[in-house]
Formats: sequence, structure tokens, C-alpha cells
Amino acid sequence: MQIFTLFITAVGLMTDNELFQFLDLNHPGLEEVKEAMAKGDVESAKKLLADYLRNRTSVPWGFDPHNIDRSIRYSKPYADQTVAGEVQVIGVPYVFPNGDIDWFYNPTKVRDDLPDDNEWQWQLGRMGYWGNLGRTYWGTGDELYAQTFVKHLRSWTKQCPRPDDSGNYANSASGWAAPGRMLIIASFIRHRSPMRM
Amino acid sequence: MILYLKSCTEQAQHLRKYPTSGNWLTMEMSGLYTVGAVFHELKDAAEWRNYAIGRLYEELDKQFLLDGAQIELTPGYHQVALFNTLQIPETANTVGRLDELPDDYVRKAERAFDYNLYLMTPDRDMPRFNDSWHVNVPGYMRTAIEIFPENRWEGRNISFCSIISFSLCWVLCYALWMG
Repeated sequence: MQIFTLFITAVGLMTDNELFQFLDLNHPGLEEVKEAMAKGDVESAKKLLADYLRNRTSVPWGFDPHNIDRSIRYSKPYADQTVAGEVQVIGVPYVFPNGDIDWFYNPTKVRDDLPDDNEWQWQLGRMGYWGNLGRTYWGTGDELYAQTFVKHLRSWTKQCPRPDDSGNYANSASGWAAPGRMLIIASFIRHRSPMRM
Repeated sequence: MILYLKSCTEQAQHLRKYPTSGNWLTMEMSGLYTVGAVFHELKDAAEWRNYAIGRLYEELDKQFLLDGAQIELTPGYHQVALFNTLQIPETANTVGRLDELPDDYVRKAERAFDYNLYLMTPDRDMPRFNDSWHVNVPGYMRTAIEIFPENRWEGRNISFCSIISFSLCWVLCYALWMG
């Protein structure tokens, strides 16, 4: 992580209790979650909420997660590259050691043969590789691809907490500019993907 | 699952608090709407959906000029803004919430497809001025026909126009068709 991040103020990921405050616990289907929270049993409430989300039918998907048709187009080699941390962003390849993505790393800032380009970091944060990763999990059933998605999600939420302002510093070379901008632009890209994968 | 829900909630709160403008706004509102639709159990979900719909409904008039061009005058961003705007009714249809949209929401986007057709080059791309990239115009027009089945574009037969030029007065440029 580059030193610039040390000077950026950010709000940490919300707590479990905060999440439950944002939820309408009177929503049909959340009765048991509400009951667990009333008892102060947050861990049970989380498990019940996750069960509810996995089994609800109020939001349809493009596939039946309980009866998966694996006839879908995907690129396993591309997914394997993602697992290995091999990315190609705006034509500039980079391999993250052990497949651990550093969301603040930007090879154009390091390599003398390339001009500095914030776009590399911004595009990395759009997670364009997630769609194929999901389709490959769908097509193969190999948990490795799902685990890689979870690994990315965990590392991004840990390394890139939301800023306490807009986060859109167009001219900032690094630090919060890229994740901040990513947060806004890529929110759409990330959010629409579940129903399209 | 819980982490994903937390992150989506935080991002929706952020998007609601710090909306920007131009094609970015269309992405932001499409994302905000999607969180409100997918996680309708959140207390703010309905407000997020309504806000996103309202903002992009307004933006259809603000961002798409009378000749259909998106206000940033960039064929690439034009597609970004157009399809992010249309993502809301598509998602609404998926989750059964089309009745939350104004009746003429989709119709307002029709002229944006005109612009694609007017600027189409002989290789079915679009001129790459400003920050643009390859645009598959036939592909986008097929989408247009799905959305607007009356297909008022059919029969324009633009491949065989001798010389037709369109003055895109709001864009302040001319598209010259030769074939």
C-alpha cells in the first residue's frame, strides 16, 4: 500500500449492529432475525439473515441457484489468470504475488517505461474480471472461483473503506482518489453483475 | 453474504449522498437503484429506488439533446449514459417493479438511438471523437428494436443513401452519409 493512504480519512466498514439498524426487521420473512436481535444474539441473526437471503424468492435471478444449468459461456483460462492474480488493465499486464490484489498498486507509477496513468488503478477497481469468474464458477461448479471472488471482496472491503467525503479527487495520483472514484463509478458495475452473471 | 450486503449498503449510502453529473451520474443511479431493488429489505431501499428513477428521468431531458446526443458529445459516453439509464427499467422488469417508473421513462430514451444511427460509419462503427471506442451500432439498434418494437428506424436503408447529411444542430456538427 502506498504511503498516501495514511493521510486519508475513511469510515470503516459498518458493524453488524449497524447493518441490522439499516434493515427493516418487520419485513416479511425476517421474523426470526428480528427475534434473534431482540435477544441480543447477533451471530444467530446473521446466520438467519444469510439463510433468508439465500432462499428468498422475491428477487429472481437469471438462473436457479438450486438447480444450475451449467450450459453457459465462460473462459476458464481467463478465470484461472484471475485466480492467480494475473491482470491486464488498459493493456498493461501485472501479476499480483500469490493472487493477492493490492487495490492501491499501480504499475504505471513504478515502471520507468510507462507514463503515470491513474486509469490503471481505476480500471482495476472496476473488477471487470468478476463477470467471467462468476460464469466460470457457474459453468464448472469449482469452488475455487467462488473462493477467489470472496477473497477479492474481503480484501477490497478491508483495504478500501468508504471515504468520509465524496472521494472524487480527479487529480490525485493515488491514495483515496482511485478507490473513491472507483467506489462511485464501479458501484453500478459491481451491483448489476449478480443478476447478469 | 453478510459482508456483501454490508458493502452494497455502504456503497448505496455513498451514492445517495454524493451524486455527481453526466455519464457518471447514470452509473451511480443505476447502481443505487439496483441495490434498492435487490435488497428491498433495507429501510432506505424504496427511497433509493425512487430517487434513482427520479434523477435519471430528469436526466433524460437534461443529458440527451433534442437530436439525441448525450451532452458530453462523446459517442462512447453516449452509450454508457444511454444503457445505464435503460438498466433501471430492465432491472425493474426483472424484479417486478416496472409500475414504479413513469410511463414515458423508456420512450424518452428513443432519440438517443437516432444519434447512433445518424453517426454510424460505413463499417457500422461511430466516429471516435473525444473519449470513445468501438461502438457496435447494429448491436445497439437490435436492442433498440427490442425496446421499441414499432421500429421506426426500419426502411431508412442508410447503406444505400447516395448523399444525405444530417445537421445535428444541438451537437453543432454534421454527419455526412455517402454510399
